[in-house]
Amino acid sequence: MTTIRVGDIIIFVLAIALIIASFTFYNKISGKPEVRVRAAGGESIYDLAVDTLATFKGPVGETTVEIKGGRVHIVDSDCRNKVCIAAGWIASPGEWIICLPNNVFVRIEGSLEEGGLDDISF
Amino acid sequence: MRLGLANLPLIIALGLLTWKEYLLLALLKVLGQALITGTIFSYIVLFSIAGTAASILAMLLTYNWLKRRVSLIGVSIAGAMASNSAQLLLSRYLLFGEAAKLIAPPFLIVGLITSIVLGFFAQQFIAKSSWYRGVQ
Repeated sequence: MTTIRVGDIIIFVLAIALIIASFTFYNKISGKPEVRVRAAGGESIYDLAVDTLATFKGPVGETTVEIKGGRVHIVDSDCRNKVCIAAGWIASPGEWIICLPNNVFVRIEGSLEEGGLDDISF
Repeated sequence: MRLGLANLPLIIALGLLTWKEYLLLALLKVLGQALITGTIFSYIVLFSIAGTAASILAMLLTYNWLKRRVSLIGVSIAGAMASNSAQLLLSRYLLFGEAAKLIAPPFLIVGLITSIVLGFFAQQFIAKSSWYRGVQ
């Protein structure tokens, strides 16, 4: 039968310690949630907490993004289907709105606040 | 998720090959895997190289330093942890940025489990194989 030796136990304990340490990474993703808008002109970053109205030029015209009260939506866009406007408001990290015709990509990145889990199941 | 079965020869060979032969075997493993999976000219091969390099370093060190105080299970765990850590670091700087940290715990846990199974198998193999006894 296999003999488990002292070294194995030590290495196992070290591995467990490494795994436990890796869990602390979950708490360290921090910083204020920020709104990143990628448009034809490059990427712009806005603070989600500061109300802003910004207009981006794209292949089919202009797309206006509004940040208000910690939420983001697209106010107006020169695209045909207005899917981006219909997408409504987003407020949590990981959420996004995209206007494909006008090549504008709005997403929220940043901290996972308390209750920031996507889903829990038992 | 991958089991790391390709690391089995590397674990078993620890007691058989000189370090030069061992490096050659590791190189063959990386090249062979890359050829078979079709990733040889993609960024994925970088992960393979980094993981293999880190794991053979960790395994050679634990195997040669601890010698009789460690079985292949411990060696395998050390190799897996080194390999996974190296790949996490690489993905942190190469691909995903900070988000790479999110995959760390499940990645390391799976690595620990598969490496224990693999180490156990390798230990059983060298204890029972008449081929191993013959070439040793």
